[in-house]
Amino acid sequence: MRRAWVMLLLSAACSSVTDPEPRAQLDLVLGKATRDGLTFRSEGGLLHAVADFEGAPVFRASCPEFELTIEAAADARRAIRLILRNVPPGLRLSSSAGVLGPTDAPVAGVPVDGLHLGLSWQVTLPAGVDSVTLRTVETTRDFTFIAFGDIQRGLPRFGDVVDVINARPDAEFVVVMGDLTNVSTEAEFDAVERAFETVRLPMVLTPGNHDAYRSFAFQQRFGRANYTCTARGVRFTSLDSSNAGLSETGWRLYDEALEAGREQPHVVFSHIPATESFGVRSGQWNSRVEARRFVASTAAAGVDLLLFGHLHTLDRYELAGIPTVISGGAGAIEERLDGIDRHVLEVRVSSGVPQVDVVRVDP
Amino acid sequence: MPGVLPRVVGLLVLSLPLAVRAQADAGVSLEVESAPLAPGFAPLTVPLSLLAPGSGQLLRGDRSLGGAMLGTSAGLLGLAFGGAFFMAGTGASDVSTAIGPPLGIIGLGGFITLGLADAVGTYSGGSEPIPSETAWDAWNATWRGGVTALVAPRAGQPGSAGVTAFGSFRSSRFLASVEAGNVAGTLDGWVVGGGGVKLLGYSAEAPRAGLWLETSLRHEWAGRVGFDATRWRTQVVSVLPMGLLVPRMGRVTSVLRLGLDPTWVRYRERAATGFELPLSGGFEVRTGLTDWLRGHVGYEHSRDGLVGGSSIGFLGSFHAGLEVALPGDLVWDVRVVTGTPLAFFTSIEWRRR
Repeated sequence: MRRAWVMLLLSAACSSVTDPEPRAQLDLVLGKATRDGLTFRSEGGLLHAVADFEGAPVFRASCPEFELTIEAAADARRAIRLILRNVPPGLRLSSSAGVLGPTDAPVAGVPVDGLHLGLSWQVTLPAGVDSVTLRTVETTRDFTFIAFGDIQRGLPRFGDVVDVINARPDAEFVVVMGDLTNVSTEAEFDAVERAFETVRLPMVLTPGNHDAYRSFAFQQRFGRANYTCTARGVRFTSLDSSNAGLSETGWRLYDEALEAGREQPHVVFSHIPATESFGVRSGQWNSRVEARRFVASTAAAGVDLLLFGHLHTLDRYELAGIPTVISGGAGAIEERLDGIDRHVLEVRVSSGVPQVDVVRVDP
Repeated sequence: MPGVLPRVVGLLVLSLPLAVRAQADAGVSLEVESAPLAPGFAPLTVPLSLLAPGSGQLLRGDRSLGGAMLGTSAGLLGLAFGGAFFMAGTGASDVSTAIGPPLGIIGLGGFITLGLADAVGTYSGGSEPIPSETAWDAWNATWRGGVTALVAPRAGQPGSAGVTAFGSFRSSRFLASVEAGNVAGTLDGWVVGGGGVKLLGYSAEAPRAGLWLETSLRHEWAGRVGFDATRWRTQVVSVLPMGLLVPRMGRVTSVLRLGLDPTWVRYRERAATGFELPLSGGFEVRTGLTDWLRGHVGYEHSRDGLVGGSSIGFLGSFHAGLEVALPGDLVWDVRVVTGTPLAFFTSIEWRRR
């Protein structure tokens, strides 16, 4: 009965999800920070400034691969400690000679005690140089990632999901298709962050409708809601569909991402399915016309895989020939009569082709 | 699943009208002549009637009718909540959502209909013949034709604007309709052609009232965004003038629709065809406010028009509007639709009985 009331209340609350355009506008300015005369600017807004640690600026990486430019004012410090969070152990950055080391050889970050998946580098701006760029070492290769969606009220049992993820030896990062929280409170986000610190892999996130009841709560902690990046030669694009459609700026960012990924294998992940496989339930975008526009443009750009959450089940189908998976099995109220309980997806990318397997959390 | 669903929907839609016809055929009327409403109660009755349909009749002194309406509205509300709880209890499973929304549409639609009928019937002085109240009702018209303009300002996106032309013919047993339109910036255009047949008449006094089977084909072009779609809509439609139950509620007409919209979508770039199977339907309650002014409120479950759903998943859009009778069989209709986006429609229509 309690579950039923919760579902009814949530259904009513869904109508109060905030306008996505201000979030998309905020995306445009995230990824840039100024500190002590230094300006940090990440390509595509993939590094988000969070609270300082031991007096040094800390940036959370939205993706495992990124690029950061540091510009110095005339009176700025020339040597700083740069700390990055949510990055894989052993991550190496490269830059021009004299910035990270005497040569331009990539330099591995030093683990930061007390900061989960935190690495630091000593960065020096050589004399006469006012701008340096640091970037991850990109390699196109086969790899594996984990994907799941919809924790919501299932956080107390999330440890089971973490155990499954941490037991996948080949996985390199985790894509989360939204609904980390139930009603976007600070306490919930705090708890989610603590839970994520038990996962040994970086988390690549997109917001869900339950994360958007307070419009900017997700972005304040995790950075951009709409973003695109390349990892291991594959483009990944997060799309903020938390109010069941895209804003004008959201569409523009998505069109740019599609264009950028036209020649690459491309995985698009978002929370609310554009179109359900069956359709009677209408657990999908508000407008079928807009959803078809999304599918048409996605197909035209040659996207290779669509990942959605929102529905607390597992559903595999195709949209305009694109392999599509809905997976919302990380602990939220479970859909009955569907033959599957909690689960995650294991996606192996081989020669740029993603292959999705299901890993059950509950037997 | 698709084979079972139409039968379930059909049974649900059929149950209420069949009960109505049984009463009408038996010459049963719930009308009880009673004293006019005491003026002091008047301001109270409208919200009471909407919250607890039948309370207005009780205040009017009609205990039998008021009690019956209260009981029926409680049952309808229970039906709506039952549908919602059925969905919630199964975690919104696709199986349950094939049943929950129809129950919700029937339950909520019936509840709102009874609420408005109660409010209107409380003030009505006595029996009012149905034809006089429905002379220019959209449903009662034989010939209709007109144009609709719409604007939909949308937060965060450019507003949409469009125009639709439509025409229809409806006899006492058959109907045919056509429609064409476009929405600038969204759809290049669409055409609809449809027809219907009356399965069951509720009363000889109201030949248009009854249970209808309607079907239509709609083709829409959206070349600029890379798709076109063909929708085959089939719905069971119940048109129930409330005067068949209580003559003094004859100003109110209830329209209830349920069906499926199998849709084939062709995506041009990959030459792939998608298939969608949404539930469609909704309800509309229409009431005469004066001799020249009518009001209507309703709910539309489908999301494939300009206006999408009003919530995330499960729900469609609500609408409300007014019709003004103009000289020369013309009607001016304005309505607001609270979906995504919020949209405003205005129509000029010619109607002929």
